[in-house]
Amino acid sequence: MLTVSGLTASYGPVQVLQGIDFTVGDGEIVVILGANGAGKTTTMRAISGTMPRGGTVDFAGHELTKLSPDAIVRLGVAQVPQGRGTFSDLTVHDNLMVGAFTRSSKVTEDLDRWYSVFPRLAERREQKAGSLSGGEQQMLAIARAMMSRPKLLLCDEPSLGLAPIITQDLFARITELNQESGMAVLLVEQNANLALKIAHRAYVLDTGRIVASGTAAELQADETIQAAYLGV
Amino acid sequence: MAWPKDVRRGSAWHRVGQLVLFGLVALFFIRAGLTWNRSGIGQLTDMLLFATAAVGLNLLVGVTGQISLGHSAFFGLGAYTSAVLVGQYGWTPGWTFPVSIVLCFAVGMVVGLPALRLKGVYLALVSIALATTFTQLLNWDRLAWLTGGPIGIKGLSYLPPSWTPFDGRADLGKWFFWMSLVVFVICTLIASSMIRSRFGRSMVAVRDNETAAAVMGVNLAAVKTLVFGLSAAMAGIAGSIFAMKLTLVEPVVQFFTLFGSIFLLVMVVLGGAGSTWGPLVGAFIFVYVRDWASGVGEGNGVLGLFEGTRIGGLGGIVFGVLLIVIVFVAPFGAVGLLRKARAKVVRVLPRPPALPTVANAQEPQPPTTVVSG
Amino acid sequence: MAHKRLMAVFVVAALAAAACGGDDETSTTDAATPTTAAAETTAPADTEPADTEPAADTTAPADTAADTTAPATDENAFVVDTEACEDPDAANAVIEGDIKIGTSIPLTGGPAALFAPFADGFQAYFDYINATEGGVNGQTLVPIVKDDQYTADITKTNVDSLVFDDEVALLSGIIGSPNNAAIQADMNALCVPQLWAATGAPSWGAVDVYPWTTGLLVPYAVESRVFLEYATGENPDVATAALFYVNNEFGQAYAEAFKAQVEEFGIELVAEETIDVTDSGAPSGQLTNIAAANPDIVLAVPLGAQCIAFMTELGNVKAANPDFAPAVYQTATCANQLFFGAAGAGGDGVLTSSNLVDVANPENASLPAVSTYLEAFTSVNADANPAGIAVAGWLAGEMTVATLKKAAEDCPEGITRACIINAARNIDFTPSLFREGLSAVMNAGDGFIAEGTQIISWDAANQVFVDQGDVIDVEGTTGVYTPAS
Repeated sequence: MLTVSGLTASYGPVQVLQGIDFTVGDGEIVVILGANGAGKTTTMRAISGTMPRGGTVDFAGHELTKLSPDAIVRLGVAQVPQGRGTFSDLTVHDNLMVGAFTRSSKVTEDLDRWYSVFPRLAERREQKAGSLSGGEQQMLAIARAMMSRPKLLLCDEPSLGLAPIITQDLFARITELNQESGMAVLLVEQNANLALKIAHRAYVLDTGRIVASGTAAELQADETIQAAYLGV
Repeated sequence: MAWPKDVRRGSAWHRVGQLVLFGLVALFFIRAGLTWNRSGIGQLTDMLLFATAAVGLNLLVGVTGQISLGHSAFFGLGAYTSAVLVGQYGWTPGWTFPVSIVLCFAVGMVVGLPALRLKGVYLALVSIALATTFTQLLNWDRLAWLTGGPIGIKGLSYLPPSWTPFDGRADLGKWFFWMSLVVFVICTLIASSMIRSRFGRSMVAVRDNETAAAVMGVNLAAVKTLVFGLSAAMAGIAGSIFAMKLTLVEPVVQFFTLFGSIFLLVMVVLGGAGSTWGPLVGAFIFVYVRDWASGVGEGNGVLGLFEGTRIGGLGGIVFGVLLIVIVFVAPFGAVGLLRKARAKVVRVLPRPPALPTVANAQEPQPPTTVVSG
Repeated sequence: MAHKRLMAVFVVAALAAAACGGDDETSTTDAATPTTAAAETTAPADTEPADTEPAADTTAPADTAADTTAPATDENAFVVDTEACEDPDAANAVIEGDIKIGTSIPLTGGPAALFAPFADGFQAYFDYINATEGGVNGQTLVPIVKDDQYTADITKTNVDSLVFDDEVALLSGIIGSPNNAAIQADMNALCVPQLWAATGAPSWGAVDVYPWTTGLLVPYAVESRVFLEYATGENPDVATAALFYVNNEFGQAYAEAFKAQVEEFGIELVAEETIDVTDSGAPSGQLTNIAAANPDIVLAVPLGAQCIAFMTELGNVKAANPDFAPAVYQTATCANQLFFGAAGAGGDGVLTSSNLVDVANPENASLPAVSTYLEAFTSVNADANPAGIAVAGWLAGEMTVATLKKAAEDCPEGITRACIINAARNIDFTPSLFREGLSAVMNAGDGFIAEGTQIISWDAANQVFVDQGDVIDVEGTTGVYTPAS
């Protein structure tokens, strides 16, 4: 579904991604692990088109590096940005409506669906997103991304700032979404233990390079990698 | 029940409250239009024109979060478009208004292009350059055949057409007042319905988190350039009427210079950036504070604080201080303060949570955003 | 919230910059305002006392003055037509009780430092008349001053408020061409006298189209003609001229007049240089070009602080080109000891003009008119400088009172607005601070009061202005002004 090869990206003179390759298959949950500054968020932004990038990113036959962010969304790639990126001055409802920005039909149907998946959001439908708790905002960010009916969901550090129990719940939700709809998920995470539990495959990113890859089970078992890159 | 009383948004009581508020404001303007003398009406007309330009700027700054200190250029462009067409080519003033709107919209879209790449301070700097370049252009020899150069264009007039209920020169003040009121109301309706629309949500989304908006599929370029254009068009139509009312245009008219940009921004912030009533309240405060500062009579200067010294830029100081106070004491402007005061009496609660099944049966409610009343 | 804070910081910074810019006339947009304003008012004070010898030689045709100061004949008398007014009855209604006189001038904003004393001089004259004569016609005079920051739209707002809220009988002494222009059509339709507009633009002499508006200052065209008469009188061989002017309404009015006049005098214009309103730098390029053309005479029309920059640079260019020694005349709006004193050697010998006596010169302190003025002015504002613009305010007050007195005399049944404008348009009066031999005269065929002035030159060594020749009076020659459209 997603084939990334030789992906590069820089902030000014500083090259953050040194040319990375990875793939996400249909219906797969793939996690990219790495420490702070490894280039995880940059990878997400390079795919979603919110920063200049080089190399190729093939999504279902489309070359994403040539497209603008809104065109990429229209192809079915949605993102849960780092720090959730909910629109704090908009109500929960309006946040979801912005999520459906690229669509015009059956929006109400989807709203109902996500309100029933996340009843907390339905309760707070008319509240400003800024007044929600961290966990609720993360749910909102995911629901909002789902409103575009993505084929691929990019999740950037959803566990950031959340209590472990909430993170577990969140990951359970992501797994459910993946299993129900067959939507592929690309997750970047610092929290290797939790992420590897839900992922099918994983890559380890270090200073802009992929230094290891394998199935989640393999990486979980590999103590050298665990010690060297994942700080476990 | 003890105070404050709770009122649910969208309930009958809430609607009644909104209607009463709207009715009082409407009554004020209608009464003023019918009974005030020419001086009062003239000032109120200026206020409405500034408010109209501020409505546009509010869409850009308050709702979409793009700073512009260049709106004097659009106000001036509208004024000059009408002045040139009337003064040099003998058009009927009314027909120049649509030209102003279209021209300012187009120029606004083009000027919005830098906003695609620049943010915050940098965008503000570019917009300042726009304001200063505009006055330079007005002064430019090579364009003097069109703009009148430093002398400008004088002797404009727009007498009420015969189909109006106004009686020639004697009703000039009323004619401009009602015209400005209608234009202001139209612009406000456009702005508020826009804010409540799908496009309006994407404007707030761009303000709140540009990157997130982009990855939701919001086309940043389209939103920014369109809002710039619309905002410029509103400033332009206000400028057109302003020129006709003033009977002249020239490069030193304050609202065509950087001062005008600053004052419009002051109105937006004073009133409450992002709120529907903000521009009106901000323009009201601006015009009447300015008037108060100019009525020096016996003593010199506001409250006699500056008695005898007559330092320059007193108006600027007054507005500067007001602005600092507002931003730190009442970040949501005068409208925010009024809301706070109202909250002591009536608390507006959000709509009740809609059950999925109920929501399913109907179209989505008009969303209630930060910018709505 | 962050963007709101940022916005506020920006606005405050911009306001601060704007306020400062206004004060020191740096090149912010608004700095144009003070300088433009400066140009349009006289800076009549800091000059040597009038040469009190009666003018009898060729340059100052005393007989001309005598002719025109003769009372207007009947066919020359101006009579306003109140049927053209929006409300003819109001124009013919007798003004009862106090006579309110409205004005709008810049008290704050950039130009305030230059203009604010005008209000004190204006106020001082009415105080003086109320105290010594009990007003006019037994009616107390009440001046009402409003601040317009030299902004035409505020002037309009102020004047509406003066006319409709304060219900003033007349307006007088409003400063600035754009400001007066903005209300001219309105006041003429309403038939409210708009007297003694403190500017020298030609529009105030449009007797037929705008009878209700009269000007106070020497018209710019008169000033340039006086200079040409003086220069050709001193040196009949003058063959070439150069023109340096600020590129705005004021400078262009001068330039147009000068270009037409040099042709008339058979002089060739060999260089024409301009400066932008906002340009506060030294006009090096312009003066180098002028020096290269080596004209016999130069007319310079800079604005405000540009006067200083022009003279300083003139000194530099003269030092570099020893052969370059033209007669240089600088507009009367620069005739100010502050400006000339600041220019150093460059100001030496530069010509300018003034039609008022120098109240700052101790030699004039004994003149009754000067001591009366100084005493009255000090009682209004002891801290302000009584020289400079303040004298123009006093002059505007004096002209207003003279008009009202004439109106009272001409209309024994009571002063009306129509009486006031008829009195103003037929005025024949000698203001106390006018130089000897000059007087203020208007009638149906003469739309301007002040059409004579004294050429003076700056003596840098002694820091004083010295009279050159005699008062040149071209009273009555300007006629009336007919707007283009």
